[in-house]
Amino acid sequence: MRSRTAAMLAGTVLLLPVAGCGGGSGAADDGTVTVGAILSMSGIYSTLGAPQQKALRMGVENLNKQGFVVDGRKRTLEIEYADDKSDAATTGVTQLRELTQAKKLPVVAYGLGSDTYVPQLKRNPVPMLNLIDSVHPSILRLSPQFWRVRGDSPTYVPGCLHYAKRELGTKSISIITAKGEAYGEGLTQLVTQSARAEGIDVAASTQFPVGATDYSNAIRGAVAAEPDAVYLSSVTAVILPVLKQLRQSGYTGPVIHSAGINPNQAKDILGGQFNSIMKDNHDCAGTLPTTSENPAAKAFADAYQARYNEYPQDLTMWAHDFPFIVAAAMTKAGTVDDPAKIQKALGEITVPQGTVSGWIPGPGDALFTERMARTASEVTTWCDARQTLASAMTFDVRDGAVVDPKIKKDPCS
Amino acid sequence: MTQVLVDGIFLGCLFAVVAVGLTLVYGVMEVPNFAHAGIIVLAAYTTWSVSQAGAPFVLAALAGIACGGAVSVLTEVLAYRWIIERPAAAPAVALGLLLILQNVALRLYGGAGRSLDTPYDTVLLRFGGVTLPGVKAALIVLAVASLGALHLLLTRTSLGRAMRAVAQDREAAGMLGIPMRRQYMLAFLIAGLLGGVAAIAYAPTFQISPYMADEVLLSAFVVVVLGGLGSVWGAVTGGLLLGIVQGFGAAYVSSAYQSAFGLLVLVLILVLRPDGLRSTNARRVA
Repeated sequence: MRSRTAAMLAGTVLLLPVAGCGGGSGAADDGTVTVGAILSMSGIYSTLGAPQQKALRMGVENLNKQGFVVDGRKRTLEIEYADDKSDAATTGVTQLRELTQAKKLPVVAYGLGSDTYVPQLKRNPVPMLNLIDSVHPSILRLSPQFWRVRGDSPTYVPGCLHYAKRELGTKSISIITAKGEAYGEGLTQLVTQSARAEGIDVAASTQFPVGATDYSNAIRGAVAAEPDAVYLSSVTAVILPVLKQLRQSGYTGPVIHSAGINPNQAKDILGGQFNSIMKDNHDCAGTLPTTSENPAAKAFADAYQARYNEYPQDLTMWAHDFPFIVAAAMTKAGTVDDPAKIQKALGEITVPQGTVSGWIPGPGDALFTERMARTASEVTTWCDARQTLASAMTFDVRDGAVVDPKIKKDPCS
Repeated sequence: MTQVLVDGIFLGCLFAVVAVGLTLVYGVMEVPNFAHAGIIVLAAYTTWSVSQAGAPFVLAALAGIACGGAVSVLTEVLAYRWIIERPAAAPAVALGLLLILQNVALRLYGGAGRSLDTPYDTVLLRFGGVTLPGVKAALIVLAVASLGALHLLLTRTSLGRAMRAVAQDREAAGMLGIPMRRQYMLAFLIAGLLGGVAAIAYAPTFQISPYMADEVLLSAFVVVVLGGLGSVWGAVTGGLLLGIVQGFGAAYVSSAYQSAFGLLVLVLILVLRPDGLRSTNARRVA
């Protein structure tokens, strides 16, 4: 008898770690559901990952005030954060494997590196919601598991040229592109198309290799064509140094881009001269929570600024809404741990209560249309007197054309 | 045409200052010092920190240059000195040091870019249809001044003569009583100071980040090979040549492939003169 008890105890002890290794389906007995988020919290893209994490935390807290119901049971959400160290191809892929294979988390939010995650998603499909990447051509073509919680570049680039022609009187434009940087190259394609559609002449299109530190030649080629405005095609960290050198070269005309530069970044990267460098700068991208007319977005912006003492980028409101979207999909699917059912439910949910981004519903009031949820787009302009951004035009884009543009006269007043 | 030449000279001066630091260390110790990029980064951050603390730019710049020298000497004392008899380990140690220095910067300052403000940020020089921003003019002046000072040190002082002797023949120099360790340390000190000069001259045109010097380091290594491994004046010549070739290639062919023109020249030089522009036989560090 004693030996049988000892054998059972030994067996239990041996099985415990095995059960531990195989466990972690994302749902705990206390009703807490865990999902994953792979963000660039350190490294060169930490300017994106860190604010995303802050906004996700706020979203989780707001969601959990009420909780959500799945299959008749009240649940709360928590997010397990993983840092890809701005290196999706190595660290990010390892983190995805850890989250989805070892810990069996049913949904993952992420920032950059879509193409590197595709092989792992083929082995172990889970829905992955992208919080930032609006590159053209779309990341959605890479895998059916990808969803995007923001509009892609074609939903805002046409607005740049529409605004430039009507408000800046632009008849010709030069484009400077970071060669080898996917977002910038996609933007240049779209700007060229939209310029043609608006009857704006592309006076010059110059490039510099991504990673370059001196842009003299690309700048000189662009400015020599004497354009009415210059468009800079790339992300914030790349174009701000280009903008600095463009102004250092003596160019004082309008500069347009789609980088989502906020005043904090302008101060950090441009330094003491940031206000004069940012003068006559116009940025077209998603609506900002600070300039939005949506009361929920504004309230979120105030709360974010009060809590973190930093200017909230557009990506923060999308990140805030991620927990609500996941909760709505789980409620619809009736499961917290079946990725296939949650994937299907994502395509069926409407705009969830409690979100702040001002989502534009698609056909049938669905949040996602062809796996993309989107908000209105906006042109912001730099107000040097106030040293901040102001909304100059809000708009939507359908079939490549600007729809319902609302231009604000004297936006800096 | 003149504008392209001036832009090329600016780039060439930047490459030359970085490359001379590399070639000096290689000449004396035969180490491909990849960690030089990390030294530039830390020097730039130090200048920025001191400047942010309210110090005048000149003081901040001196602090940055001193930091470059100190960190460079530390890399020699703590790492390279221990592998002097095992040259095959040098590239791995150099890469390891680069990662350590960059990650120190990342840990201390984060990944976001920072701007280094100077009193001449808004200056724009115009002469005969050519424009040159103040920050670029300052880089050219600093490069000429620091390389001139190095030339005087190497040719007119006993320290410089000793360093050249070590570079030409380590064993013979040792037999003549030249203190080898002091020469290694001196080479790293000068390289680090030049790294500091590069940092304060180049950061205001770009931005400070843990990876700000990666691309410049790559070009500088091209320059070192172009000029002849270990040759200081080869590095200066190679730097100017690379800058001007990149400038003209970008202006008249395509700015998208700016870096590729330099590599093309490198291949040509290696085919025509395998030892580089200035052969280093009995001429290292000179």
